[in-house]
Amino acid sequence: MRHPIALVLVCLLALCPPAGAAGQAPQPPRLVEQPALIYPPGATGAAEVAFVLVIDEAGRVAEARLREDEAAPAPFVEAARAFVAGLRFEPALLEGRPVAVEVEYVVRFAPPPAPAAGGEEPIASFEVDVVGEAPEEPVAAGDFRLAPRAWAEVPRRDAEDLLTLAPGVVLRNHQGVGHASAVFLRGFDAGEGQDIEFRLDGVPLNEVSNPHGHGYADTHFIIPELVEEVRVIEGPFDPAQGDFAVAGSAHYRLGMAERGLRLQVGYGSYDAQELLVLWGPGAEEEGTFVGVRLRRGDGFGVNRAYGGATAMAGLERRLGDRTRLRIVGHSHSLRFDSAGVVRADDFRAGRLPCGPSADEQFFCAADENQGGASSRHGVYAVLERLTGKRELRQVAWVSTRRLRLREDFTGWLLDEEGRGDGTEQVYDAVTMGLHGSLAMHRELLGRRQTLTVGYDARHDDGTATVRRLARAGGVPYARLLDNELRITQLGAFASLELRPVEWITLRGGLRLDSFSFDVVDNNRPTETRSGVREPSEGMDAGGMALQPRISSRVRLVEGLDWLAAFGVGVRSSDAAALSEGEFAPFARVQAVETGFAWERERPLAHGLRVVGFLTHVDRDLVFDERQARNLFVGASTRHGALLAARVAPVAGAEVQGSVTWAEAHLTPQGAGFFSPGEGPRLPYVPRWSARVDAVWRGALPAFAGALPARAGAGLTWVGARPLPNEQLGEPYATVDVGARVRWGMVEAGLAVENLFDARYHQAEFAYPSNFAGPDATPSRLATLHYAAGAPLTMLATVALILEAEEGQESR
Amino acid sequence: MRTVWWWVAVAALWGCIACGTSGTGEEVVPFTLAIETDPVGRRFTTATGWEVELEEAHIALGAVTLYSNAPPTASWMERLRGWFVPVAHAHAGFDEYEGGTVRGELLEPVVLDLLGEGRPFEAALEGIAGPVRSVSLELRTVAAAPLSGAHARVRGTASRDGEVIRFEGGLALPADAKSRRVTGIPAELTLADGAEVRLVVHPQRWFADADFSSLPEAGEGGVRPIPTDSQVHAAWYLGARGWGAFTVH
Repeated sequence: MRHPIALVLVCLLALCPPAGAAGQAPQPPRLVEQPALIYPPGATGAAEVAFVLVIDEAGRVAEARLREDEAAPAPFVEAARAFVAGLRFEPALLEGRPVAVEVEYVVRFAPPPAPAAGGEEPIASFEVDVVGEAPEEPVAAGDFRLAPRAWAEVPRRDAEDLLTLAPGVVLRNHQGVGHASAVFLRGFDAGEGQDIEFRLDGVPLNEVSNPHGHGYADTHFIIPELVEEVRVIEGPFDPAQGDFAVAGSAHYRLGMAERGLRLQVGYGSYDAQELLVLWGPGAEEEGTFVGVRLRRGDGFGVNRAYGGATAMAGLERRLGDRTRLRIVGHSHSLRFDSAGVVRADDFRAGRLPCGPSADEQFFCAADENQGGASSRHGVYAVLERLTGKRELRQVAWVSTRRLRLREDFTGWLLDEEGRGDGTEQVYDAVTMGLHGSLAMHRELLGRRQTLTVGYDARHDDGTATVRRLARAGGVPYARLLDNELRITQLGAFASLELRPVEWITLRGGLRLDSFSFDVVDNNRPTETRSGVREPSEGMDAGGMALQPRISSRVRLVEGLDWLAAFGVGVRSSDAAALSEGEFAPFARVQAVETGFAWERERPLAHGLRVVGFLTHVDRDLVFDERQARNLFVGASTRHGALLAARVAPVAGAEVQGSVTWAEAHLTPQGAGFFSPGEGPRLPYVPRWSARVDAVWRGALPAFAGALPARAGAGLTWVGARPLPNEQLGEPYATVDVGARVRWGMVEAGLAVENLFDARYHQAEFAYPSNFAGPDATPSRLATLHYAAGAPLTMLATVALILEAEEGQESR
Repeated sequence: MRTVWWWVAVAALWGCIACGTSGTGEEVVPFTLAIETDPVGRRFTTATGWEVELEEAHIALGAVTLYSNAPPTASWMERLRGWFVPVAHAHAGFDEYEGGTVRGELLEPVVLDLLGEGRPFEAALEGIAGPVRSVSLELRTVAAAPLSGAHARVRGTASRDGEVIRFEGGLALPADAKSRRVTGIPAELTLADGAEVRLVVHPQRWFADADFSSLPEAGEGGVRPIPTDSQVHAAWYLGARGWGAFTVH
């Protein structure tokens, strides 16, 4: 029996860091147990077999893959593989907490020397070199890293629904399946993206100067099952957050950890049909995958049909041990009809053009000319190079985007000739850009200090048009907007992360954004008082904004942190609102928050966060029904608090919940930043909201042994929303449940949304309209309009799952 | 028992969260809209020297709308003040010209006997609290009697220098909507809970510039008609829509 001399070169790669930064130098794993190594029978000579091992938090070898350049003969490889599988370590430690790490481990076959006393092979030496992505501290108390797969049993149909895993996020959709939902966060009606920066793997998704809403962000092209993580930062506190990060940001990251092939079909309520194919080749990285999703359905009421497809493909390659390249392509097309909003008084009186029953009236549509079509195609590349002292990240992308929306909020109110008030908004653009960052770590005062610099460069070239549509046949009869857009955004930031003592982290940074607008307005009049003129006119404008951001974390006791942050964020101008030569005004937000974060793993894994926040915006936007988009209303102030908790009460179960309180007011003139609560309340922003998610994973007893099973439930509650004229909307609550059972390669699932079939207003507005007809005398007083929330909806799925072979799991 | 009190507390908390007002301002308030006749409108002297006594006067009005903004006829100081001190509104109403927020309205058409006993019209309505600085209304035509297709119908006597003319006729309106609207009637009141808005009709303005001697010869009963192409009809049309035909208090 020969034993190898193990010459170990250890490189630490942080895989699953806890919420606490690596201020001290990491402690490598320590070998505590090893099996006997068998020299392959019949083999001769010496050999070395090099592995990259993943050692988990328990000190076990979770994964062993051969190093890329490994070329040892097969018998040695086989013997070495059996050997490393039996290794046991004391896990690596990062600030006292066990962490999973990757290490290089070489097994050398040679005539061994006599074993050392005690029978344990000495480890020759360790060279610690942090090569992986260092664990990132939260930048603020409202910094949440969401793991969608951990809550996959709770029904969530689209990538935007994943945002509800973050405390205080409320989604409201008033125009159907393919329309982005309005997001409410921290007292903001963030619209469909005007106040939240959306990114996918660093690629910005907000659409500048989209005629429906500046900053419109549509995540329907993202297959939710491919989302590895969503990072939601509530508030503008990270210098890396860019344009539109007024209420916060939502950054999606793709990855397919569970390798293999999933072929899933689904059928459900209202003729909903879905096909989902996910393929992650076993021997490839998590960033290598193919996903295809096709779906169609009739929708839950009049004029709600939809149909479309999405494809995403990623390829990840390691270029050496410290560099990896990911390329992702995506293509998406979705067509949908929309019921829009209806007048509440028409519903109560049974006047809507549908059947007489209460449900037929509740889910009716006042104008069936509404709907839309959305498409997006693009490709992006992410290059990451991670060494012990530097983390370099570069992203490049290009995409094409087309969105056409048809909406009608007012019926026949606006057009005096009685043709109808329908609007058609079309956005057509090509977007390209670069995004990168470099984090440099140095050890000072015995702790890691970090300087990060980064940049954004983005160019949008497209058109934005708005036309009025006649009720009869949807024929366009007037052009309200016709712009050619060329918009360039350049941004840079620098931030310093200091740890003067072990229990304090200070972060401060500056961000500078510049915007330049080159717009051609093709909708100018052909005659003025001065005479005939060209119908088009060019306009150039530009602007810059400096945004300081600081934050701190103080560890009060083990597991309890106090966090505080202040930041300035901006929202760029909508090109439609600018004039020639203007120094483009931004909407600036000043935000401050503080809170406590508590995390413990024993006796039960649990966590708690309590956060208070205060925000001031100098140029706020509120939805205008006449133009079906957001328009400026002046300054506003918001304040509130949230409480979020999670617990794993028993093995296989986890529960998380949150309650959020938010107040939003139009700031009176002359009132400063610290004037919360002054002025009339902003309408539509819910003051109270709550969310609970619960999941369970285990096994069901069966005649052939236990069947793996998973179940989940989600509860959403939204309090009465303030409406104009001192009115209050209706509070509502919905419960969603889901379950899956697996038998061999087959998995059956059922997802039920709105389990108790509640009737509720998902969106509410108060404004005047005339849906009675072109000859009716319209009321010009504001009245309640609503978009109906979906009733009880079920989707049954059957999936064929071919998992990656053992030994071919994701690297 | 403890469980019961716990649920009571939960229900109270739910109720507190759901009850009360929204704080968005400009609450909805009940008010009264009354339409009255200027007492002078029964017997008056025109600018052309005719002494007119009305025996019958009917009128049809359509939508009456109360606005927050001052009319274009307001003083420049008043309009400048509104310019420099804008008020942010959360879409409580809707302006068609620059009327601003709609504070109240009467939608249903009404036919009024301007010479009847008491107030011709009174209605309890709901509006949005706040200042009312202008009013607009529609002039309607009604097919049924007593208007028989006209916006207004009168019967009376005009006398000047010993000449006495009995007249009778109806005011026809052009078909276009613009010609049937009277906009920018100034007002200086505040809509509050229980407020009363009085819209006063001044029939004496109808024939301010009329020359009754231009009417065609009397028919049966010695009553001269008012043809639509007559000078009296033209003066009546201008007067019925012009300044002073309606006031708001």
